[in-house]
Amino acid sequence: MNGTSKRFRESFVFGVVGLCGVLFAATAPAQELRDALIESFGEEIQALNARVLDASVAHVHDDVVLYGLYSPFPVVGKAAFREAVREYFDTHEETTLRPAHPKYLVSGSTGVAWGHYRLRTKAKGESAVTSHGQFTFTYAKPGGEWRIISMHFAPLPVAE
Amino acid sequence: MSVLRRGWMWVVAFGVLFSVTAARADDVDAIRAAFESDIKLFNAQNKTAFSVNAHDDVVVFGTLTPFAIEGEAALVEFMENYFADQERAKFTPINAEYRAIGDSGLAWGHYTISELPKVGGRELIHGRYTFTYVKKDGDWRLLVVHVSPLFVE
Repeated sequence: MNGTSKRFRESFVFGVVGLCGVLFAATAPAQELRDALIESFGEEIQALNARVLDASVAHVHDDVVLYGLYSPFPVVGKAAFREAVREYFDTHEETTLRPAHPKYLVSGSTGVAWGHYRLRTKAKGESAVTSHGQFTFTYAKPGGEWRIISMHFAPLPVAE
Repeated sequence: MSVLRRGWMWVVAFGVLFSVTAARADDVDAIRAAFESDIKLFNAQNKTAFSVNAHDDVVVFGTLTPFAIEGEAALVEFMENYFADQERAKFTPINAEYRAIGDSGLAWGHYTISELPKVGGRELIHGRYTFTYVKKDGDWRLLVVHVSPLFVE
């Protein structure tokens, strides 16, 4: 092997190793962001199902917008969100939200968890009801942590 | 601290505050423009509505199907089929609101969709929408559309 081809081979190997390094560096944080989003979403669902008010509000941004199941109007802001969740807990004996095949999207500092849900609720003095629908949780990362900036729940029509 | 130095600190503080507020106002205006552009395309029965300014991985949960539409190509195909079934369709936003939080944007409000299908009678669908945007390379891209009906007339 002459000197030129050896140098070419060394440059090529260094180039490939360098490229792999850059690719890994770009992919690893993206995967970490996605994992953190999934974890945050899981904690929110767990908090709602455990009916813990503070934990249910902990992942929410100050300017959150909620389109929920119990009002046609938006709930805007963390204080109003807290009040809506408190009312949800106060008026129900049992609430279990099960996401069905949730999917996650991360683009820069915006994240989305979306999919279908199954919700079993038992209002005080009434029988338990199960409903199905679609949900979207949108997240932003203003201070390095994923925070919910929007929640949208939409029930699917019941088959006749 | 001298009066002069204190005065300069206030000037700098106001400058920073003003530039942050102005940037946020620009972002909100850009989100509004992106939203209004898509509504205009929809009302012109243009199959690129919601996809022309969309992120590659755009997701649409709509009133028009219980299933999610994923990706730009699937969305264009869906809109083409939808408009093929309509004489006319019009989306009217009601109480439209916009917000920018860092590189994340929201447009939300109520809507009425007026549909005049080629077969069947006219329908009015009233509901709620949330559009999520992400700022990429300086442009606001549509990432998720969630449109949910409240009732149909």
